[in-house]
Amino acid sequence: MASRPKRGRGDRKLAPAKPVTLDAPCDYKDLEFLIKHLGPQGQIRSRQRTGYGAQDQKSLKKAIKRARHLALLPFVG
Amino acid sequence: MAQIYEGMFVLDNEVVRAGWDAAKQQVTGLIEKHGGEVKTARHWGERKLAYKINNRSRATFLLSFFTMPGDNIPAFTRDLEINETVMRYLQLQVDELPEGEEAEAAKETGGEFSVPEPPRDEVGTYTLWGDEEEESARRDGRDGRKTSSSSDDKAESKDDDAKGESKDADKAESKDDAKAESTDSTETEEKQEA
Repeated sequence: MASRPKRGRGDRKLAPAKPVTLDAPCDYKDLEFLIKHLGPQGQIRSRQRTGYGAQDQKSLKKAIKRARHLALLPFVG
Repeated sequence: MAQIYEGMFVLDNEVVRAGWDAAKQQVTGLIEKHGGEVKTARHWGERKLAYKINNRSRATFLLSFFTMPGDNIPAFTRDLEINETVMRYLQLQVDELPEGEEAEAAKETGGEFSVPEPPRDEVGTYTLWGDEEEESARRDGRDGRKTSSSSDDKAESKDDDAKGESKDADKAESKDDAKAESTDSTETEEKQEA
């Protein structure tokens, strides 16, 4: 059976991945910056959404997880 | 040369209420006890926590840069774990002292510096900006804020829409308020689940 086009959330288009590079590794204290890369429930935005390369995304991930450890940011849930 | 470490310590507000210097001394004393040298130590704000730690929902943050022989680190962290004033800590190796950090820390040694008494534990609600006052200040300043083109964040684009739609500031503000309320309600729901 021919599959129908996807409806709902799966249908949502991601923003095109524009290559973005950071000048310096992310800092866990810079909450204003980190919050830009969180979803509504506090999820870390995917690389497709942020447009970062592997290195930058990794530093973002680390910074967010450090901030979570200190209860500066919420865990997903 | 001994390694420089950056330490962020989450301190119990009960202890801070008794006196900031004494609370700070507990941490700096521990660093010195283990052969470390405190370069800077300063108050990094008092805020509502994203989740409760040791049944406390507010805490004070202490940011410190210090050197310590690497062999003493395990004993130091063990002491931190035992210490009841320090609820959480984060310790990182850094290459050098950040610029401006010494000047920030020097403000505390001046006579005029004083830490306001922390509010009661249940005061305020957690926002991503840490404080309701900061949140409202941000909200007011948002209309004049430049938006960066690099961000793909959805919320960011929403803001852009709100800005583009109307020059009427009141309208945009009420929108933001509604948004803030909805986030608040989701937070309380989460708490109930927990």
